[in-house]
Amino acid sequence: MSGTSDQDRPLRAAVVGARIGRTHAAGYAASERAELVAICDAIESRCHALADAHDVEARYTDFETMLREQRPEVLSIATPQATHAPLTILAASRYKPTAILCEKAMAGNLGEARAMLETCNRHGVKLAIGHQGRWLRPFEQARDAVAAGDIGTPVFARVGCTVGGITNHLTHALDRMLFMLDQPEIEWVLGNVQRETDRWERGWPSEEMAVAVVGLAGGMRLALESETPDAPGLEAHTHLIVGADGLLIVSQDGRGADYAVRIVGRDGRTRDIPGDADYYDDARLRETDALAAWAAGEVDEHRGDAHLAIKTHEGLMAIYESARIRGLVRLPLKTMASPLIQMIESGDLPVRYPGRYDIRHHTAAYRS
Amino acid sequence: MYRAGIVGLGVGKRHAGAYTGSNATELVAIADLDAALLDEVGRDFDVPHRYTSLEAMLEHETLDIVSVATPCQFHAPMVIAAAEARPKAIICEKPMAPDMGGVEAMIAACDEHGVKLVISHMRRQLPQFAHARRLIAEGAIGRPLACTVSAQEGGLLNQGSHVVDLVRFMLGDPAVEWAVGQVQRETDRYERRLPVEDLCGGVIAFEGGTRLVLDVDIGANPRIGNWGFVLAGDEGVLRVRAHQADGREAFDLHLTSCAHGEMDLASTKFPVVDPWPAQVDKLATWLDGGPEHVQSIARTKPSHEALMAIYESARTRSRVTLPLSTRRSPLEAMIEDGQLTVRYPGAYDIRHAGVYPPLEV
Repeated sequence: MSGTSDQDRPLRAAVVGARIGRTHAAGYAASERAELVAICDAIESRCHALADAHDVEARYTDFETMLREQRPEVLSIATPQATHAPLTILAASRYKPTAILCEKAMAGNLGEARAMLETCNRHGVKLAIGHQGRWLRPFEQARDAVAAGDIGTPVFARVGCTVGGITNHLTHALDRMLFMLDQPEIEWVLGNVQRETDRWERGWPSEEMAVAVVGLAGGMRLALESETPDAPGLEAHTHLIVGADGLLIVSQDGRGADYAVRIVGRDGRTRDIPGDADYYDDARLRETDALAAWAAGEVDEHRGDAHLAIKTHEGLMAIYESARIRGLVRLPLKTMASPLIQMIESGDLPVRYPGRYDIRHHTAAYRS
Repeated sequence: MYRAGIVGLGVGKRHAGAYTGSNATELVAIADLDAALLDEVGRDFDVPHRYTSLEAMLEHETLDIVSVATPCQFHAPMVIAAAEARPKAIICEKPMAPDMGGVEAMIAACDEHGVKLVISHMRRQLPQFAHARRLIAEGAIGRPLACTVSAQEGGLLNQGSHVVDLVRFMLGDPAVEWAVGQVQRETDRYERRLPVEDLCGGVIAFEGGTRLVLDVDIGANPRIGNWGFVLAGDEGVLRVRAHQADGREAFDLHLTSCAHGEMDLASTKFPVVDPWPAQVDKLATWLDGGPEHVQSIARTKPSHEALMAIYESARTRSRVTLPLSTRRSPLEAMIEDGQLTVRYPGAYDIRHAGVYPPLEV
């Protein structure tokens, strides 16, 4: 690694949320730029398990105590989405780590996401969101092919997920699309959601299905599907981009791993790039290492920069808003609260088949 | 010669030209409430018998073919009335009806009286779309994955019905499995007295999973153009670009394919076909015992179901699987139930032409 003398010292990294945070911890442990110094989780046993795995001595069940005592320079927040804003704001405003990597979905609504970003801006804290798809090599290859003009000007795109909901899986799908398309602005969203059962995700209301047609700057349309039925060739996380001169498909070939890339360019010339078996861990390592490099001032930007991620988040919230108002939502989104929760509370999205359940209910601590 | 009659002469003028131009048909009667239009069309096409109502025409004429070319809300009652007179066939204009119940009733009446029913999705007669259909059937784009089309000015029923039907035609007339859509109606917008949304869009899934991403009246889609089609498969993409040439609609095809390379098929490379007489000639062939008409209700009904499913999805906030349970217009239901309230009051009609009978008809 290169750097100034001051930056030769590894940055002090801490992780809150020891479940998803496992991959963050592994990233810091592997990075020469960072030293993993503390783990925090409300569940003591889980905290110990992760700390043991990386020989970390400082273990906490209270987030602020960890911040006060450890003063991390790099902080990963890998707790459920509804806690992202309070934890990020607390950390940035009082303890000012150099950089925060917060998991997706960025927040439970747009108002909180903006507050996170504004607080970090005000206190000079670099904030990135864990859309690690931007670090998956197949998506880099796809982005490079689009940028090189291999498929011509993009004219239409479509991506779908079959599980996880808007905030868990579709956030990745939309974010990867925006990444591959060189971050076009979202101009409008026309979408719909279904919630006929009383479905929750880690204590947060979750829709069962969502579909949206999104208008991107320049006029191209992007279709998003969350939890619609898959089909041969349209398995979960199949990304299709059609250009004026061809098309590009990034997919898992229905096998649930190893993203492969197919590029059909001018004259029908076809290039198939096979998948990479270690795709996920590799991306996380690069993401955390790049965060440390960003924090150290070695690089000026991070692909997960919250200034970009919040646009993904705003697009997702606009799907809910479009369903709520039955209409086209032009960005910037004006509604700051969760339009999904508003629909539930107003009776616009009544449960037809009663009985509350949680699709990602790992611990009782997350019960609201 | 098959004896033809037409009710509704606004669009029916086109049918008149087709019947008089065909060797297989003769235009013997026309009907319209608008006396001036009745005179004009009667004179232009030298039609011997002219009526101010469908009922009078059916009472006095023995017709083999009846064209129903009135506004959408009159199609079902008029097709049913015409079917009861037992012609051999009926050509009904699109959109078929404002709802699904009307279409089912039309089909039941035609079945009961042994009448062949054809929907005037006449662009199915254009060689460009037939060629696109053949290319896709031959595997030129591999497995069709996702299509998109964008239509401006006219609403889901008027414009959306055409483009959805053409996509289905190019894909080989797949059934529709489900749809998710959204509509907006913030202004009190009508199309020939029928409430119409300001804009709408959604995703329609066909059997086999192929998606159609649709947007209507949302605004310019410069990258594919108004009435521009994109059909993408895992081994290629076929694009159809619509434009005007020599006062006619022209459709250029462009294929990029793993197997076929790149093919540019400008509209000028296809024979010039006027779809209006073509649909009549094909009907005569069907009546003569030839192949089923490509616009038969059996082929085209799923196109209408897809439109209704878009409305129904907006109404129910759900993914709507077909067949549709709701027979009435989900758009009208939303308006009546206050689920789609007008934010900017003032009723207006985007296509107000002609003379209408009382709305109870």
